[in-house]
Amino acid sequence: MDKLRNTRKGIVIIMLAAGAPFFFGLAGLSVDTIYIYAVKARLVTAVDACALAAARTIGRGQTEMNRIVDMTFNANFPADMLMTVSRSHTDPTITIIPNEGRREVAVEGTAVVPTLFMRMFGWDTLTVGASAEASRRDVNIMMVLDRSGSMFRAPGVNPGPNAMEDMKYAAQEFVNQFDDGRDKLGIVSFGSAPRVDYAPQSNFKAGAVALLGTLYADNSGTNSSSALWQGYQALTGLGEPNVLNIIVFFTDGVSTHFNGTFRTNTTPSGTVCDNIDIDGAIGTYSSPSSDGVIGLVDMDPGPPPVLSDQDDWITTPNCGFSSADPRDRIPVLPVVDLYGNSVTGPSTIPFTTSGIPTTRGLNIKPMTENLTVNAAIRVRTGALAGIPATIYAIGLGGEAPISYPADHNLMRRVANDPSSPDFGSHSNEPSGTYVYAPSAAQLRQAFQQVASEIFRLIQ
Amino acid sequence: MNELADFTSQWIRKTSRRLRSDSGANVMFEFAISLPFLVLMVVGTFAVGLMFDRSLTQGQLARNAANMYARGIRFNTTATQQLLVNAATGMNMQLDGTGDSVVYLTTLTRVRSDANCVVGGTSVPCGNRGLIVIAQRFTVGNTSIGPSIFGTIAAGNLDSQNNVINFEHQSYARATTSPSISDPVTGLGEGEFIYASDVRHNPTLLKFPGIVAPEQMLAWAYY
Repeated sequence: MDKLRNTRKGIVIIMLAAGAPFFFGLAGLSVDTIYIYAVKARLVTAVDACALAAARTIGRGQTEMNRIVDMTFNANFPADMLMTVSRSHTDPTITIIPNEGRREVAVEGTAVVPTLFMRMFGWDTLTVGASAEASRRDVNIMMVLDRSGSMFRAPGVNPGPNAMEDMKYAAQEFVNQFDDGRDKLGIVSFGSAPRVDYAPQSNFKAGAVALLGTLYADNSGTNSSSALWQGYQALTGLGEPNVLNIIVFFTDGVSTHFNGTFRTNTTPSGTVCDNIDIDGAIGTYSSPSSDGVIGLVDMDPGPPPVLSDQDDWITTPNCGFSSADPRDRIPVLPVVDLYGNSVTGPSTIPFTTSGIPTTRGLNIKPMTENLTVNAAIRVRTGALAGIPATIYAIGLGGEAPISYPADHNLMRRVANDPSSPDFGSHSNEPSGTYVYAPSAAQLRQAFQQVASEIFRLIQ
Repeated sequence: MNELADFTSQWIRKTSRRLRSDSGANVMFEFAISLPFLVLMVVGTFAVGLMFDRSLTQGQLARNAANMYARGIRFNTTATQQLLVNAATGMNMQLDGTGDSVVYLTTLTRVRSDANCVVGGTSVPCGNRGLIVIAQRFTVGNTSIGPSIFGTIAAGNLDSQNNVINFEHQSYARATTSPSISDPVTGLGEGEFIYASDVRHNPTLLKFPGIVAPEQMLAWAYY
């Protein structure tokens, strides 16, 4: 020992040997800490995903929500992942936040981690925990659904289910995905004239599904702009700016009609009906080359069910105004519709007199397109009660015998889809999505896609 | 030449004797022997630390990407794609299709077992009835690093919103799932959606000489 103490030979080796337990212990602690931290990071991902998934499926009831959460947790944190001994999560708990139109969903998770080095000090396993919360906004939805004549068709099979039946089924499935107790849902259907078929309300599932079952497509036009606006009016009538306000707009073709106040001309014989204003819907035919005019149509198509929901011509008693083609009494068209939306916009109005559109079918078509776009802009910017709404648009393709599919650019503009030609100048407005269903059989997929987009937005 | 050899031999013997008798030099000698182990330990610790840091970043990127995607962000604009690049610190992710990382964002759904499709004007059962398919796909980064764990969708099969065209029917939409990762998603119900991200990273900068680094790192998240 004296020899060892008096020499410096082997001192480095001895020091290393003496310090090895400390260094290796420190390294082991670091490895265990890193390992635990890695497990914790994965657990945070799993419970965060669970909370978001729970918020998304809250309307489907606790049992379904628990199933989705379980699946999401297992997908993110499979058994034996990172050599964990076990892992578990709680069922989601829901807390209603008063007066804010939202609910909080919370999920907690734990994982038991085997230690690698710390077991030398008596810790064989450690339990790691994580929790996450997600917010789910209540949502008010108006479904604005096309029941124009072109929806009555039998693609592929004849006789067989027509597009209207496919749409009704898809819409019913859509309705059933929302929360009966907290969300509100209403329905506007439209042909030449729109109608609020089902006022927006909570506990809607049974009533809305039943109403959808009664919808019927008949020989009428497509009054998109007025339908959109009436849907918006119904939505804002709820007066709930804190919730997410949504319009789901479905149409199968080009817009043909609009609501307006139409002024009669002066007749040589002079009647009491000269120079009076008549409220109604005027329209044209679907064909792009058609210059024909249809109208005026009564804006109140009557209560549902609508088994004979055809156009009702305004006859204006005692004024001799009974023609289905009103050009003899209404020579020019208004520059705004009944709701103050402008008829000018991206589509050019070809025939005007001193800036006033003349009554021609070739004018009505671009006017209805512009009105639909302008109504959508006002919807998105909260023109009524300062309550903006996000619009999701679903377009149906043309199938024989209907050869006019939904106008893609029009629908993109309505939804303010990022692919819209005008998105750059409206990027600060709520942006929805345009989903195109090339055939009626793909409508269910399209409605499902829109539902999934809405669920993503309400989180 | 012999003189030089003799001189060298004598110098080595003398130096060796001096080192054995000089305790200070002895310490240096021992330290020199220990040094490779110490250096290896330090480099190893550094490499493992870097690898862990990279792995953590990658995991967080997968989580953030899936979280944003599930909340409705569409990664088809430069602005939204830049969000992912910002979250991929140190992973050399580029928007021009180069770099060492790629993020795939995938919407998965199970096609309804009673879904009908129109083929050639006739209504027929959809080809993907009951199967898990890819409904939407966004890709950011260098795709040559590797495909998504759910399979590849050709650009021509995506519409302007990156939705997979006719995913209920076309075989190209079927998700090719990796058993170890996506088995739990088999619980996905008909018509339900789940939003996934998978991130591949080629850790070129972590390949220290003598240190075994993975050729490729993978992280994923389901929301």
